[in-house]
Amino acid sequence: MNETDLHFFIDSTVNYFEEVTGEQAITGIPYLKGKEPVVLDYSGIIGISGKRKGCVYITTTSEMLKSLANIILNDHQATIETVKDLTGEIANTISGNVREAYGSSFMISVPVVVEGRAKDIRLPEHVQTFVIPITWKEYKSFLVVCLE
Amino acid sequence: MNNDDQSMPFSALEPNAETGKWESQWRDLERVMHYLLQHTGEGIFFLTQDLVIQEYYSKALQEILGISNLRGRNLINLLENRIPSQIIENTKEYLQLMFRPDLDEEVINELNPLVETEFFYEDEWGIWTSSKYLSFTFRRVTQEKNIILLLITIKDVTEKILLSKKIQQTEEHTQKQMEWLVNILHVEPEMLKEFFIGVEQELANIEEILKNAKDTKNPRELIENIYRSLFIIKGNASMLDLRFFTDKTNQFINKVFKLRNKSDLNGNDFVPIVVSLGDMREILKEVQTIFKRISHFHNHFRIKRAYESELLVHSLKTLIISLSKQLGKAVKFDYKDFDALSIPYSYRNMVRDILFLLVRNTILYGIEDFDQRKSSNKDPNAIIKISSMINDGFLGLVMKHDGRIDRIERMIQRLVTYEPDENLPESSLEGIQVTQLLFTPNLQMDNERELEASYSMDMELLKRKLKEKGGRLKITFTSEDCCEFKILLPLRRV
Repeated sequence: MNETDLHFFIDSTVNYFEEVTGEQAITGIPYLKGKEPVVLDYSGIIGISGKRKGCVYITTTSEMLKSLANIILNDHQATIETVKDLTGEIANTISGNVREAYGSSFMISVPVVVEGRAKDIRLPEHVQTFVIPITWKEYKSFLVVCLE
Repeated sequence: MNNDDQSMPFSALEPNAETGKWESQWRDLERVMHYLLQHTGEGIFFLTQDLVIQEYYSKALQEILGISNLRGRNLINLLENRIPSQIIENTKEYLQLMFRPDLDEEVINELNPLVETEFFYEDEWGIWTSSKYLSFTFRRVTQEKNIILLLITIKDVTEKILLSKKIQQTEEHTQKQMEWLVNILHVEPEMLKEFFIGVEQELANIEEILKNAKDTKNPRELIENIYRSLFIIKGNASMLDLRFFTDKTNQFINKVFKLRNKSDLNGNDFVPIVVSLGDMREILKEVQTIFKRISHFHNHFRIKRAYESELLVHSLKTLIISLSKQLGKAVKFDYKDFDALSIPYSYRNMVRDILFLLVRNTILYGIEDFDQRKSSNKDPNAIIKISSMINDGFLGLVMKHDGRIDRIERMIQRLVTYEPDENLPESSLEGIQVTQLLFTPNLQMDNERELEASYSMDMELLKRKLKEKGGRLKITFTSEDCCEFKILLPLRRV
C-alpha cells in the first residue's frame, strides 16, 4: 500500500460528500489499525481481489446518515432501510471510483452493508490496515483501507 | 484432429444381434458415461453456441466451480464476479471465434484467455473468501464439418501456480533477508534484542501519537514528538551500525521534515507519515523473524561473564579501528584502567551504550585526522582512554581523549550542565542557543546544523538515560588538548 493508493481512497470518499451535499468533509490524521475494533452503527464494505487483495470499508453513525438523507432525499424521518441504502451508496461510489482507477484487472465486489457495532470487521492479518477519520459537519466516520 | 474421424479407440455401437434393438446398448453407454462423469477429476461439460451448459457434465465440475445445477446456465453469467471483467470480455470474444468454422482451431487456442486464471469464491455476503487457479481448455465438437458444441475441460492447477509463485517470492525475499542478515550478524544478540524492544516502543509511541491526534490543537507538537522518537531509533541503529535501519529511519525523518516546513497542516499531509510507519513495522517484523531463526544458535553457546566483559572491550576496539580507518584518523585505545568485570550486570548494557556513544562521537567530532594533528604539532596518533572505578557507592566511568576541543564539545558541556529551568548567564548567548538546541530538536537540513542536532540528540538521550538511573555526567576540559567525560552511576539503584 503506498501513498498514492491511500490518497486515492481518501479523495474518493471526501469528494462524495462535497459533490452530493455541497459541504466539505475533513480528513483527520490517519493511523494504523490495532486490535481495537473500528466499527460504528453502519458499515459499507467493498472487497478487492485480483492482482492485489484487500478490503475497504466506510463506517459511520446513524445520525450522520439521517442528516445525509435529509439533504439528499429530503427525508426528515429516514428509516433503517433508507439509512442502510445510503451506506451502500457511499460504499458504491468509492467502489466505482476504485474500479475506474485500478482497471479491469482488479475485481471489485458489490458493497455489503453491515449493521451494528457488535464486532469488528475481519480483515487480512498479513496486510497493514489504515484508518482515516473523516468529519462531515459535526459527524465522525472512519474510512478503513486494507490493501496488499 | 477432426472430430468426424471414425478411427476411435473403441468399437462402434451395434444393435442387439438377436433382437435388433438398441435399448441395452444405450443403457450400457449411458452407464459408462455416467461412470466417466462421476469419477473424473476434471470439470467436463459441453457448451452450445449460445454459451449454455448442456445436460451432461462431470461431478467434478460442480465441485471445482462451487456451483450446483449447472445445466442450462450461461457460462459467462457464471464467470461474472468470479474472474476479472477484462478476462470475461476476452472470453466472450474468444468463444465467438471458436464457433467460426473458417478459423483454425489451433491458432485460436493461442488466444485462450482462460488458460490459467484465478477464480474467486464468495461467501453468503458476496465477499470473496478464497480462490483457486483454474485452467480451461476448449475443443470443437463437429458434425459434418459444422461446429455443434464446444467440449470444455477445467483443471484445478492451484498447487502448481502457488508453488511457482512461492518459489519466485522466496527467491526475492531470500535476497532481501540475506542483506538484512549480513547487516545484523555483527551485533551481539542481547544488544539486538534491546534494540528491537526500543524500536517497538518508539513505533508504538508514534502510533499512539497519530491515533490520539484528534485531541490535539497543535499538529506541530505531534511532528516534534514523532521526530523525537525517530531520532531515538536512528541513534540506536547508528550505535549498532545497522545501516538499513538508519537509512530507512532517515527516509522517514525526511518526510517529517517536509511537514515541519509546511504552513497549513491537515490530515492528508500525514499520509506519508502513516505509510512510512507501516513500512517500518514491516521491516521490524521481518528482521525480528530472521533474528529468531539465528538466535537459537547463540543460545546454545551461552557466554560466561568474563567473556562478555572481554567482548565489550573488543567491540570498542573494533569500533575505534573501523571508524578511524573510515575517517582517515589514527587512534590508540588505552583500556588498561578499565575493569569490565566490576560493572554490575544490571548496568552492563547501559555502560556499553554510553561508551559506544562517547567513543563514536569523539572520533566523529573531536579527533582530528592524521594530517591535521601533524600540522598542529600533536602526536598524529590520538588517544582515547577509558577507565573505571568504584567510589563512595558509585560506579565511575571515565573517557578521555586528546582531540580538538571544538565548539561542539564546549556547547555539549553546557548542555549537560544546565537544566531547562535553570537561569543561564544572561551574557551567554551561546548558553541560550545550546539550551534551545537541547530541548528543541534542530530540524534544519544544513549539514553542520545536522551534525550539531545529531550530537545534541545523542547527548540528550544519554542524559535522560542517566537521570532515570540516578546517574550523572560531567564534562571537563583538563587542558586545551584534553577532554574528559565522567559518568557516575549509583551502585544502589535509585
